[in-house]
Amino acid sequence: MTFFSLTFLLIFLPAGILLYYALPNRFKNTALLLLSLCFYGLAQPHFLWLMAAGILFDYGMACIIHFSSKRPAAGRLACLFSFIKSGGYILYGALCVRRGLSAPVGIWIYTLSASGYLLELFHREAPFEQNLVDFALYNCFFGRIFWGPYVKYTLIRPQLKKKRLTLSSVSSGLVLMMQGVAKKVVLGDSLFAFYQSLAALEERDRTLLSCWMLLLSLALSIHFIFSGYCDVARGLGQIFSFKMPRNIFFPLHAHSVRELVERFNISWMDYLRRQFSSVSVLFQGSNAGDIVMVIVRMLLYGAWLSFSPNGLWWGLYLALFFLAEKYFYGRALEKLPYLLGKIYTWLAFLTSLILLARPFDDWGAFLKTMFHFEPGLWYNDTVIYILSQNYWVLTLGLLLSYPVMPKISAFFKKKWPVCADISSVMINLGLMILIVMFLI
Amino acid sequence: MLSKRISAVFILLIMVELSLASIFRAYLYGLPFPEPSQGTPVERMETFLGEAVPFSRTLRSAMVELRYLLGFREQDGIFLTENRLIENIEEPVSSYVQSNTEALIHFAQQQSIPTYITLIPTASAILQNATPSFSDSRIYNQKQFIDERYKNFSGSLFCIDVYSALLQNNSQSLYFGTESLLSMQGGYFVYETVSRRMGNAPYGLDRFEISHLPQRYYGSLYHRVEFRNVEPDTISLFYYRGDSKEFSVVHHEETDKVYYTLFPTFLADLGSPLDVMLGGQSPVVDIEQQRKFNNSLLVFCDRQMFSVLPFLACDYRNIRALDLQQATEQQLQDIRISQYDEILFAYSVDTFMHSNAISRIKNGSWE
Repeated sequence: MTFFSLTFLLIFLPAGILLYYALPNRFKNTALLLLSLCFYGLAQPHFLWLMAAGILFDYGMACIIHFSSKRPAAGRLACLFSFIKSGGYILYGALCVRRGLSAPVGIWIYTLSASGYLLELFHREAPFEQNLVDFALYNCFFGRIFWGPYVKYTLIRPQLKKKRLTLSSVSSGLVLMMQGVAKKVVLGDSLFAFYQSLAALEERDRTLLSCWMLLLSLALSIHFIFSGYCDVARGLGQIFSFKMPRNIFFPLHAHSVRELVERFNISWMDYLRRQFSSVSVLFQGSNAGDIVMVIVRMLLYGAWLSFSPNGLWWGLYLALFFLAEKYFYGRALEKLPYLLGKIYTWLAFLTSLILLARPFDDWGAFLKTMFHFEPGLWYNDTVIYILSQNYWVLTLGLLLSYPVMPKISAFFKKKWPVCADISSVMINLGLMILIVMFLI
Repeated sequence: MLSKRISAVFILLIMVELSLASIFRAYLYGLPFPEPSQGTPVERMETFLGEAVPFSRTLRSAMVELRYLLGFREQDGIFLTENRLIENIEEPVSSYVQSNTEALIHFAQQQSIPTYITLIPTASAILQNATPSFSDSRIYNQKQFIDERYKNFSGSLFCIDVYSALLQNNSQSLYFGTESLLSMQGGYFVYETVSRRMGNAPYGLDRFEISHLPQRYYGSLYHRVEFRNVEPDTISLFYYRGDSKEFSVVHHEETDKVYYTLFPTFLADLGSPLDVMLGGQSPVVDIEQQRKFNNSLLVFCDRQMFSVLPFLACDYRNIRALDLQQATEQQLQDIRISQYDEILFAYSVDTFMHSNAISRIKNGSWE
């Protein structure tokens, strides 16, 4: 089961909300954990044991860290074991994909969240969680099981211990969740279908326009699919009284590659920075050490999106821009006119996607076609036909990848508050109907 | 915040209402829950909800129309145009094409009876001017395919090119608008070419009286895409009006069915308007007329020929139409080739490319 199914929206979610709010506060976490396990069990029942075993293992390691606080070596070893386990899990997931099987859902989230918590515990930044239910819920809450966000345990703990159930947070959560579903189902999936139809073109049908459209549709589909998942996660969090941070903030609106990376998958970047901070201290500000750290971080950043050689190459490519901006032309970039900065960012980002979208032996030929400006070879009927079917989703995607809607909404709310409220309700209901139409 | 609260209340209400209404509808209309063999419990629930949600059909077709308005002109390989649906055929399955070709050549080389073949192009090839703009490159080149096959057959079979005849008349209603089949109008042009090539004198169109079935017909393409903008088809029947001819059509199935007309129109009232042509599809169909002709014809064909056979029936004393896809081994063994004066293989390009049923011709004893 995914969030983007009628079963989830019409059966699982209403039943879950009813169960959660019908129970007294002290049973809410247990109910939510059961719901999460049930969700996971419905999605991938054969991997439920893997998740349960991982969580129990990490809980055991947390106990070791806590009860051997006077022996840091034991704690260090427990953290190491946890990260080795996480690495093993992730490799197992990659192996599944390589063998053509479906990878365990959320493997990056629940293993690394737990390992991150152990490190926090070891550094005494977070208290020991005695309650296994709360510990398990932090790791496998179904709202964030797919694509995060990674949340520090210290941020979640107070919310686990003391529920703040308000009508406004539930309402905002439900609306946010619906908007997330719409982003993924209406825009993300349509853009991905557009990308797939262009990717399926044979090399002889490939033109300059098809190459650029392919990369643009891939960029926008990644944006909207990821953004959809994150909105659903935050929305579900709010419905079940967790407040989770934003994980994506208009990355295509960025003025540099560095900013784009920071705006896309914010919590993962934050997580990597936190985990590597203790290692960075060893280099004591040396440039070489910093460069190595950035490369390792960006490799993991790429691996997170696609755990494959292509994903690693993509991360490395972005790392080069990241470092160049940091050490060479970062300041010059800041002084660039707005439009030029945007063009630079888009160019760098779109060309990086070749590494994700095409196999290794096709990169050169693809890049050549992208910049092959010979008149008469810019487009062909096939590309125009595909574009004529998808121009609307491309236009809408481009428009909404910029913070246009929040600005329009704020403007209307200021000028005509009642009208803005009415139209907001109408839009949300329209989205709900549109979602059912797309899912049916 | 007020707007969010109102939205949330409505969203929650819609969610609960839809789930309750689905259960109620399923109970009321007896909608079955899919069998365990049809996927995981979640997949089955998804299929069930897809049918049980109120207005599911309306929502599905609204979705198709919305996409049409936004520029989508193709769904599941079917072009959506203003007044018709046109199925685009996929690349051929080369192993099927190979085995069909070899089987036909082998068969023809064993026979002394004149053997003809015609490959009938589908609407996507003939009605290219009706397909969406810029879609030409997506349409499989059937002309080239047919030419290549005819080259393979030359020397073994007499090839009849109906492509040109259909293309010349593509401004007429050659195909149904909601079905991948030739209409009788299209059937006539195929007949005219085939009949002439087989040495007969085809009847002019003026020798037929056209009547239209009162029932409007939505074909299989319509049900596949749920595109509501297209008009239903009118089935036109071409009755021979020259010197009186009496036809009988015998369907050889488990029990034989006999119709004393080429067009048993009462079948339209039973919910299958397309079966009005010769009484529908059967593994073996015999068409006979008690008139001056002595020639008999054995036709190996698919459903595409059912709009052509009523015309050909006027030229022959007896026609046996055999569908290699449906015929049993026994029915194949029972055929006595020597009883026939001519043999015709008439298949849609689509069938020839994507089915190896034609290669079953090897299984007959063909005495």
